[in-house]
Amino acid sequence: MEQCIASYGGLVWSIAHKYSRSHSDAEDLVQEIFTALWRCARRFDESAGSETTFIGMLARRRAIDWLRKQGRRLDFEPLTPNDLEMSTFSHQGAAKVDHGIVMSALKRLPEETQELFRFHFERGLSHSEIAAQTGMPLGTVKTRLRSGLLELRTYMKRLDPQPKTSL
Amino acid sequence: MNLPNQQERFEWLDAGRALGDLSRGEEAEWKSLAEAVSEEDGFDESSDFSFDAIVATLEKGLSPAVPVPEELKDQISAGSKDFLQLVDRKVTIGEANAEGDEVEEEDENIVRPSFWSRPVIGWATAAVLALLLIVQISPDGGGVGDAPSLVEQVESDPNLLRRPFSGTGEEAEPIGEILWSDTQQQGVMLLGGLPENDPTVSQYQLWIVDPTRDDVHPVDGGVFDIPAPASGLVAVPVAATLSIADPAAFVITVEQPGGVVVSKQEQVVAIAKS
Repeated sequence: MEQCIASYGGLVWSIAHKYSRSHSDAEDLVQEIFTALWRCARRFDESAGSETTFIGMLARRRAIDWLRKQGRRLDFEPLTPNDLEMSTFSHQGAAKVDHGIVMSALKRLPEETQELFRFHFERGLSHSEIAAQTGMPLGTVKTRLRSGLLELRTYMKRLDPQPKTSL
Repeated sequence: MNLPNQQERFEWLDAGRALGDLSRGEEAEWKSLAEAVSEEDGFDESSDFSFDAIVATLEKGLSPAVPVPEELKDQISAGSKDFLQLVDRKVTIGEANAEGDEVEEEDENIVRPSFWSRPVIGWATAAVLALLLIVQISPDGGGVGDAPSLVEQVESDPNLLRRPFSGTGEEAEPIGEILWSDTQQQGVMLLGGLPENDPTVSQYQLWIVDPTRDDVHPVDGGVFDIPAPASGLVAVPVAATLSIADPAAFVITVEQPGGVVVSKQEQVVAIAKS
């Protein structure tokens, strides 16, 4: 447990801190993420991806769910009991994602899309906040982030046409 | 919607899901399409990059490194230990072993992350065993079997209901949790805080409160025992006697051996509210 906290605490903390904005909320979120991690650890499959990816996926998923539960982000509708739970979390069934390939593909995206990604992933801005910052309509921000992600994956396939499968 | 359009629409929504910006309507559409595309011939998810993994990689790649405050590390550690108190190193398999011995062996078929190395291995192993070595206690308190698929089955429901059980004392101490699937009409309790009982004197009984039913009484969820030694996490299948539509609460009471048809709820020991 201590080893896990030492190795991945920084990643979890940076995600929690970025999305919660308040120190005390971030602390609560970190606790939730680690509790979720203990619950989901048995689902880790080393053939499906790295521990970092596994924990990053889980932390991000948990952070989004947490924000929705808190109703803190207007972009996200509040959760209901029927929403997807962490119990369905899995990183299996998809090709392995290589960090270098992702970052190389990112550089091939239009500068405007890269900037939207930086707003979202680096600064943790909500779609509304990005819209306010850039002057883009909210719907345009949402559309460009989604299409940017699709485009990024297309570039990844070109860079790595035969990705390693996990099965 | 023909297949290419369906696939494209699914990927569009899947990107939104990974980004966390699906509307309620889109989420329902995503669930429906996810089932549809996975059933199509020739669909091979494993040949593609997962959006979740891509955004997680972007998250790490674009996030500035932030050191964890030392006091927070201590809090995380303490909080984790509190959670893991429910999972003892020794997992009781109760009457599966006539001598009442406890299982400590690891399942070598389980692939574990490297962070499960010592000193994590004790509780991590226990957590796995708790989920794999299920104590099945029938309504009459007897019969034990290995049902590793039950938790997996229930957890496979995307609409799974998972609620913590709290004790009814002043501290409302954690007792465990319940996993319930409306779709499958089955569930399982993972209990770690109830004292063992003598089945000749009293037994535990689960009640399911479903306000949608005409009957004002809660539904009998089955009688069960906490066997000795009950130092680990005990998994007890829910044995609902009637169909459950919308469970609002789960209540554990202590009743006479064999249970009762209608509980006076004189000894309520744990409640899980939806």
